[in-house]
Amino acid sequence: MLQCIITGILLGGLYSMIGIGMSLVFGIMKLTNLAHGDLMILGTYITMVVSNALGFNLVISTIISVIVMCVIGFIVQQFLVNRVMDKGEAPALLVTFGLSIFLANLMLKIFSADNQLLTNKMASVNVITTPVLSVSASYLISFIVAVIIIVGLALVMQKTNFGRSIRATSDDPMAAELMGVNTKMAFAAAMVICMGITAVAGTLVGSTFTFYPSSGTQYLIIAFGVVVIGGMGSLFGTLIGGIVLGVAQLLGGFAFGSGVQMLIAYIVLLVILALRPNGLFATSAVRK
Amino acid sequence: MSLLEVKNIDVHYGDFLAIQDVSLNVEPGTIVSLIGANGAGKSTIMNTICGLNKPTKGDIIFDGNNIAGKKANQIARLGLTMSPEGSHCFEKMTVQDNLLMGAYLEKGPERMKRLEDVYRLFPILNEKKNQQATYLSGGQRQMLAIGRGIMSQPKILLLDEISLGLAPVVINDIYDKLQEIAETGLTMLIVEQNVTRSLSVSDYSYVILEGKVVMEGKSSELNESEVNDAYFGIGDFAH
Ligand SMILES: Nc1ncnc2c1ncn2[C@@H]1O[C@H](COP(=O)(O)OP(=O)(O)OP(=O)(O)O)[C@@H](O)[C@H]1O
Ligand SMILES: [Mg+2]
Repeated sequence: MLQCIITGILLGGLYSMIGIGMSLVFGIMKLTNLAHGDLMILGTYITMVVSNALGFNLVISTIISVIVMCVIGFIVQQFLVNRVMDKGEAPALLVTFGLSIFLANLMLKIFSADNQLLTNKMASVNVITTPVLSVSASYLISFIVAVIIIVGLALVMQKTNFGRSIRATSDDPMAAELMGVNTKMAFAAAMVICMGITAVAGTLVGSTFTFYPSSGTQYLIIAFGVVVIGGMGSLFGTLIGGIVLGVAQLLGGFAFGSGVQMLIAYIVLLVILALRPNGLFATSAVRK
Repeated sequence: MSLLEVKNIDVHYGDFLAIQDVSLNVEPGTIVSLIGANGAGKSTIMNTICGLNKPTKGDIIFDGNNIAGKKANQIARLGLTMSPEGSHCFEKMTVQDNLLMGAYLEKGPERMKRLEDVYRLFPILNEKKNQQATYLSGGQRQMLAIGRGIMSQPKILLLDEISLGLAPVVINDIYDKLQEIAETGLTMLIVEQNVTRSLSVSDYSYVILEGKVVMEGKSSELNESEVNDAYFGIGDFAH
């Protein structure tokens, strides 16, 4: 039981990493990025290719994957999403849906349907091993990385001129433009940051669970759950959302067997949605 | 030489010709006002100057640059700041963050000095600096919008209907502040529907009717009842 809660919380860190990019994109651009999961898995494959082909360790491979994903994020925003955003939410949603299908098929062509795991020393190492509790290093690392990124991002958004301009653009693009903000570039910058974080999430996921080209959908659903529970666009809500989902899943598995643990997690999601439709920490709800 | 010179612009919304052959001048250090009834085209002119709309004909010369058709953020960088109709505060941001956004292009410590100046002008904003803009009253949001405009220390400040929907006492208050701002030498182009107020606050006025300039002159020399006729398109101005 204690084991389930502790592991659930740590797993929640990983889940919130998966959700941050989606939450920010939604909070800033009002865009539901249906390609989020596939983009993350693409990041996982890039890390895999770099570490296999060039023999770099996971940290360096991840840094390269982050850079590549930032470039991809910029291209996606500038050449796909920015072009249709003025036309409303539905066209932008469809663009991300199309991108999702494209990416999943592209990865299937390149990497085949075999499942993979990022080889790393951490996966099997436990930092704590006692009869009542064992904590795996990769779960702990994911959790710590998630907390660092969320706190860092919150500071940037709250305290810097850049963060302020992103918030202003999300709040009232026309007024931001009048203050001298290039709003298209602000959206592109936001997407770049989201994709960089998502690439890190990709490595963490890929070194914890096996993955294959169509894994994106499964993680899109997790990201969606995290974002909905935490409240769309709230950074700290994302962390709480991840933890709620992680703990619900493991406690559900403990009580009813691991076959239904994800089902239990989504039932919790539905209950929270029914009670608090805007999530636990809604920030965009004040919008009139 | 004029700071801002609008030369024979047309503006269309689709096929609809909203502005026809409008020209106007703003000399440095003066307040110029646009007067006109609902739908006359005042906001369209303002939005075209600041780059939110594009003219389909004509030039707009600001401080030696032709800005017609440029993007709003590029025009802002040249020192032209606009506070649009309906104030458009950043609702979810604090009052202070709204003001700091006004100085977005000024990265140095100079911003803090400007912040103090704005708080001195509008003490209520200082009191509410950590509140979200969405909780401000109508008058306070207008003050915030004006304060945000001053924060950018523009060469010209455009204000579109700062009295929209406000009680007369509050309007008086805001116009008193505007006089104070004018005394610092800031050039302004304003839109005001109230003829008396418009003539008393400005140095020069243009009356807009159905997308055209139908009367212009020094505000002190314009006859208020003639302006009223032009405003409603009656008498000599009937078509
Ligand atoms: N986005 C738009 N699309 C189509 N027509 C528009 C648009 N904006 C304004 N118009 C039309 O252009 C004309 C001028 O409108 P504008 O808003 O410039 O008037 P205004 O003088 O500012 O009026 P008000 O005093 O009510 O603010 C009106 O006939 C209006 O219906
Ligand atoms: Mg108007």
